[in-house]
Amino acid sequence: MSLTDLSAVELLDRLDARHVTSTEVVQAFLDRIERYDRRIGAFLRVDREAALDQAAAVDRKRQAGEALGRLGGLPVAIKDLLATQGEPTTCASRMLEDFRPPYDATVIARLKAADGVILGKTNMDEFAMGGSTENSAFRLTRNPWDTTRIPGGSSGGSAAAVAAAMAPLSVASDTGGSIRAPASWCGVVGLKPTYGRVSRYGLVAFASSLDQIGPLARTVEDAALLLEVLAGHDPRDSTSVDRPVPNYTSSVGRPLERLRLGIVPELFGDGLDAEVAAAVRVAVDVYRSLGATVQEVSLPHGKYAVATYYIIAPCEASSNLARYDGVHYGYRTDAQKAAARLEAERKALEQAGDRAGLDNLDTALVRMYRQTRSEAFGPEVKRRIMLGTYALSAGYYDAYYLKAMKVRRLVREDFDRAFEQVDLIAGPVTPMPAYPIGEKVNDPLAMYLCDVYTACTNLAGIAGLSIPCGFSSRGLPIGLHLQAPAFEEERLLRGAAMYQRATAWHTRRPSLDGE
Amino acid sequence: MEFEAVIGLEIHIELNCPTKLFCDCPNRPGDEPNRNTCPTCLWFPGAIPRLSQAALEKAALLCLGLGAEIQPRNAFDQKVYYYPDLPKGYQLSQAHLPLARGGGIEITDENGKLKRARIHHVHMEEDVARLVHEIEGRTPISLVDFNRAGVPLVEIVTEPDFSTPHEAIEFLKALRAQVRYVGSSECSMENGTMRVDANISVRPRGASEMNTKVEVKNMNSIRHVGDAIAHEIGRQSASVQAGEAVTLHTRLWDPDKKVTLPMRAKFEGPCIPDPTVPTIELSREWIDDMRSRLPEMPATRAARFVAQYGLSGEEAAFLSSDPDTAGFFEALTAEGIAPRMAMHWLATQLLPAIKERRQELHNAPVTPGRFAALLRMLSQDQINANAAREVLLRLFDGDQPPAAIVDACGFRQVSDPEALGALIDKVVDAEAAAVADLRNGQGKAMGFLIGRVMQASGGKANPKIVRELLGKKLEAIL
Repeated sequence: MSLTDLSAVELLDRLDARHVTSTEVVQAFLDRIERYDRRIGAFLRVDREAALDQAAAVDRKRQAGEALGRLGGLPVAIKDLLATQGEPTTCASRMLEDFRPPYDATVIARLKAADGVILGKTNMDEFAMGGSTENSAFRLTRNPWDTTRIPGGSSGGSAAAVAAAMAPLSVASDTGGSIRAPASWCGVVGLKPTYGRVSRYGLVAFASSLDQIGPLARTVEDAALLLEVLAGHDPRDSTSVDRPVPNYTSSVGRPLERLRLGIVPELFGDGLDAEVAAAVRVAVDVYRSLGATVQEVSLPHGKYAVATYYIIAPCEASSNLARYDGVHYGYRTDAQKAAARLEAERKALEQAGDRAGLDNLDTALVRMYRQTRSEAFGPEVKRRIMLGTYALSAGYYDAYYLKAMKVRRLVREDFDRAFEQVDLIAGPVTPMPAYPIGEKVNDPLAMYLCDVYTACTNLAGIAGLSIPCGFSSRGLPIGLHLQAPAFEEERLLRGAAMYQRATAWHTRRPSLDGE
Repeated sequence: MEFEAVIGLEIHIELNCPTKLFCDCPNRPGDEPNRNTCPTCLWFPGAIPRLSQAALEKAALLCLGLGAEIQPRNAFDQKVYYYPDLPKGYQLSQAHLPLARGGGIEITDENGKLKRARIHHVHMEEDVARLVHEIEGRTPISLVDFNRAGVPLVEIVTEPDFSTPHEAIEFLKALRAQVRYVGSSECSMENGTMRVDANISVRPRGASEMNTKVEVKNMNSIRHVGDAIAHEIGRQSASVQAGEAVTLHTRLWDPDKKVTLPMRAKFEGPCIPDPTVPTIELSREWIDDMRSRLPEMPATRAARFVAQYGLSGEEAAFLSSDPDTAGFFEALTAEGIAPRMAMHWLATQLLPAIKERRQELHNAPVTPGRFAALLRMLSQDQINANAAREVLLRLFDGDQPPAAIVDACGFRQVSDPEALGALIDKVVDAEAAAVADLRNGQGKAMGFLIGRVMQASGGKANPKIVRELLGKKLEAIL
């Protein structure tokens, strides 16, 4: 058995027992990246030198008997929208291709303080907008279980890296399902914490009221370990909540007694793949066998979640992305070319005697903005900016944005009521297993509908997790979605871990050498 | 047709707290460009604003000083628009749930009648960056200075309660005094720490409807606000008279030509609740604590000055209009200077001298202690008034005690009866003609003789004693 087959917790045991060094562990994962990532495409950048330096530093500390952080030299892959000081943080966008933030995101600072070793930055949909990682400006990421299929998104690189054992742990973000959907499609564990549980400082914002940072890992225990490092109050993010972080790793092994598991019949209706539905039902039976009582609950406004989400998220995105103007950082169009083209247009209009055309011609500055944004944003980002700008424009604001905010409150109230009756809500993560690359790339609506089960969690600001619960007949992973009330990550992890102990889905590995 | 104006004011005030509204950068917009910046106020990707408690407190004090009601729940919104000085694409401002509502200021109209000008609401917002337009070689270039980006502002929006430029000016003066009192801002229109936009419409006198308003900006003194309003009333009245419609737009005041010029159509971008700055919940206790920190406000202080120091209402109002002046005055009286003397010398000598030197009372070299020492010498007849004025000017040159200056300049008054008697004898002997005039009943000669004695003393003789001794002498010889 090689090091990369071990879970993070197992690796940590060996590191602490000094059976292996961090350098050896990091080297093992770097070798695996070297070997497989050409095919998978999970990483946008891997900094071998820096990772090995960091590992060596941790080894020295351990050797000297110094106290080590919780991660004790474990490698972590980072979704490329978390600011790493002095290192590229691209959001998989041409716009930020050369952007090097002058600061570390709080979670990066926490990882470093916990003696985590940063392996590299993972691929994603541009600015986290998308569900397949096909919207990356730089590369395609393939699903390790079937490389003709998408890994899911937007954290596709992170999920694929963990699934292919190119990293034991990854930190990503979830705005409408971006951790949980790829986790489900890649057969790993992904957790979206409660809004406010993890600091968003240094997370390049997509939709600030929905974005939340969380862990991806191969086991629930590993996710608990990473969440313990990530979570906590940060004075630099006032939406991060000042309440103690439970010791997730020590409680995760304790099963939930007298668990009341909720299922939402509406979620098993049209549009849900039969194999996914069956896998989820069997998973619910496993809970029954573990002593849980299963109860139907209703989320009557759940059916509006996608529509609501696709108003609110683009509205916030349109405002969050206005700053990419080519002036202060990031991509700027070739100003001379833009000016020359503008001049040519002016001459043509003058020759044609087109007064109106001349009056409407851009100023040089406006042309620079327009050209910069046109060249550097991909089609999905543009689509969302347009959706948001439209929904916020005069005359539509009340009908779209205000209405969506009202529905959002109703969705939250649905969950409040449901959680009066049950401890956790179980259901599917995605309507179907991973689909082929290219299938939905020209059908944004079909892509958006894949968020049908996950977007509510973000709208309500509660916690959600995806855990492997089976495979389709084609051998594609299926995820079980568990949701818990706000700040009940401990319950969520314990509930997931008791399922994991009773099943073996999480032990299956994609075969990468067979192709 | 006779017209009357309906005027409302929007006043932006820069709070004088040490840091910006949403980060720890120094609140010093005048420093070397882009020195006071960080990822948050440069609006870098991933940076998150966090509200400054100091700014919140200064803003709350300002509101309470105006009698406005602090809202226990208030929140920031994103006012979405893009401009090169706001490259983030939205301004954080309190559009839906402002910090405070209500309040107002008593002003007097042209006829001296009291009138209450009401405040609609007060909200907090961040300032934008500053654009600097320059020419590089032959190319015009625009530079962006982010020192001002994120500087804490409050905006005070009044009800349309003013009908003349005079009322608007009265309000602004009183507002400035009140805000200076609570210590939230210097409120200098010249330095841009107070900026005033006026919304003006006209209607037939006595009518009750509200017509389309025009917003006027770019006035950099309170006087300009009055001038701009007067001009705009005239312009709108004339165009309505001519049957033209007034359209909603913004105009800029041109202080040189003394006209308002159209700037742009008024743009209202969308506004969404900001998800990054949590709703501000203020407890009753917090608000009460803020209220307990309020100093004595100008109107109360003026009333006390009348009662305590026997000043006239006008004098008391003058002194209390500025907290520094009022404080200086009280410091002088605490040093034992008679209130009237303190008031007189402060108003007619010290303040003009400070203004002439473009200094501020609170950090001028003439401290209450030094000024009181000088006035004490005057009231004790150690120097005369002319010498006191002379010494005052020299107090600005260094930190010598006034007595040292008096001695160094030989200003100390001669009050010794023997020495003065000898001088008087000489003058009376020399000025036989004047003495003769006196004998013939010509009173003016008395002043002439005193002047001669003063002259003979080199200006140092105590005029009161000279008059006394000269009187006795003449009585004896006449």
